Amino acid sequence: MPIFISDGSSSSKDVERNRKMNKTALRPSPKNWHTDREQNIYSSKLIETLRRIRRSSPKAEELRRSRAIREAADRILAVAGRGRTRWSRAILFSRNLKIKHSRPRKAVYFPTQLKKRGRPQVLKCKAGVLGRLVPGCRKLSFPTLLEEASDYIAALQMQVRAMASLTAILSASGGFSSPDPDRYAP
Amino acid sequence: MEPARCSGAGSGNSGTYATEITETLRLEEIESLMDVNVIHQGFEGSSPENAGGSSFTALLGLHPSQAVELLHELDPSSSGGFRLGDPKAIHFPLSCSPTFPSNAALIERATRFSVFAAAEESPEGSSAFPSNSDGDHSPNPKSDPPDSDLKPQRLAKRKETDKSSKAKTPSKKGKSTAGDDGEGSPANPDDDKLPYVHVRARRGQATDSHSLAERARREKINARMKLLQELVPGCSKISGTALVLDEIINHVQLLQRQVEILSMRLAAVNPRIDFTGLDNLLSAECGRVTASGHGPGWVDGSCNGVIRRSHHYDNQQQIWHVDLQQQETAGWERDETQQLLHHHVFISGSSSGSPPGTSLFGYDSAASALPLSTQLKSEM
Repeated sequence: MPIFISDGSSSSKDVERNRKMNKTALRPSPKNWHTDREQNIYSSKLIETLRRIRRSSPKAEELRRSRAIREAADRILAVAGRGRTRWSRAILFSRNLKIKHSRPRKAVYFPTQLKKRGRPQVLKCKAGVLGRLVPGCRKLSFPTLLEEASDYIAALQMQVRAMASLTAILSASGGFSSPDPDRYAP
Repeated sequence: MEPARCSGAGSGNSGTYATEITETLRLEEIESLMDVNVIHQGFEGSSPENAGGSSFTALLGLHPSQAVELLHELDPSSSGGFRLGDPKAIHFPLSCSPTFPSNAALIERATRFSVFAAAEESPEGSSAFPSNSDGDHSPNPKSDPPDSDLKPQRLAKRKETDKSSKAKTPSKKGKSTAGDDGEGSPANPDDDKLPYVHVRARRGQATDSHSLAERARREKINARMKLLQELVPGCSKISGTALVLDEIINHVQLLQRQVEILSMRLAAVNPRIDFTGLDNLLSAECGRVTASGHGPGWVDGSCNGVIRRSHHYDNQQQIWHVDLQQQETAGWERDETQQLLHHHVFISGSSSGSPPGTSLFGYDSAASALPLSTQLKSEM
């Protein structure tokens, strides 16, 4: 279970200081996502969760298992963000609410009438689209939305890298796993 | 462990300190504090007392010299108790080996530092320490003030910038265009941190508050757009916010789709490697190692993500190590060891070799759920 450092129990002075620390600390956080250390942490946690999922649902329900894996991967990503960003908090807190309408996911398209409208409208629409893509950022101001989006993109890239290497390793060693008990008998 | 044994009251108090730490300090803050401590205290050599506790000091992020100071500190005051003004009493037997008091004192010190950093009481702490000092505690005030100065400094710096920005914002409207010659706002990096914005008007631009605020807002947005453009590949050439936003949205959708595909693939690839059947995999790898003789390079390369190394071996550098999860060690580790022994798969390169008689003997002795590494070690 993710261990969360919460602000709820600290005094007002601490909350203020935490907010200042948050603001100063939020800035370099998009840079932290590409380190190897974060990726290793993420991979190891993902392996643990994979094992657990494997053990808990041994039936061949590929669809449910893949969805569970995806949600677990997103949750681990949010935990890795240490809860300082809105999208990570949104992922962690509203997972139980979003099970119903996670499918189907249709493609987002721009309404064509927008081309005739003014430029700020277009921008606002696109900002809305982006806010719907990034979890928990639907009604945010534009600069905060951009900040959240940058952090989210960095986190997603790290996630894709980690999962790709994990699948490569697992499929590679899975390809070689041919147990031959008679081979090594003396 | 010795620290828990040393002070019964201390452990309870350190528990509360720990909760305070988690509530008030962030992770990076702790790390940066520790790094700062390590950096700003010069290396003054090690003493034989720290040989045992050196790893512990490294864990704490404190310097070994501090352990020496603490040792010196605690020695004269052992009879009379602590004069640190500390409510809890630390009872540690000084007749024990010298690493014990240093550990307890280092815990004390570490918790006090972190508590002081959280509660901004570091002047009190640093003054308490030198109050104990006698003649030969000259390194003590030298290392304490830079240590204690840092934390109030860092906190003071934020307050200073806050005050300066607050002081300057009333003068925002007073800036004239003639005075500022093409200079951007110097406090622009502070825009994101602080609630007040200090913007200077450039030459030839309007100075009313609306346009200034708008310009500040635009600068913020442009700064973040630049960050995003760097992040998304192929976006730096595009000019214009709308197209950049298009690219960003496409990139986010692409990444999310990739995550879905990868998760499906992970779900699909698993049946081939049963994690309970990982022992088959490992025995196969072992066999490959014995067959080839220079296998471990390949083994390490392929199993790097799955199998993490735990260094239990001293002189066997070609042996791979399995990272055994706590939940499953009892479960499949015994199976694995059984399989390994059954197939007589042992890593080549051991000096004496392993005749089957000793292997079975080793397994019998290890039947009580020893971890894999120690079991193999006993057979080598």
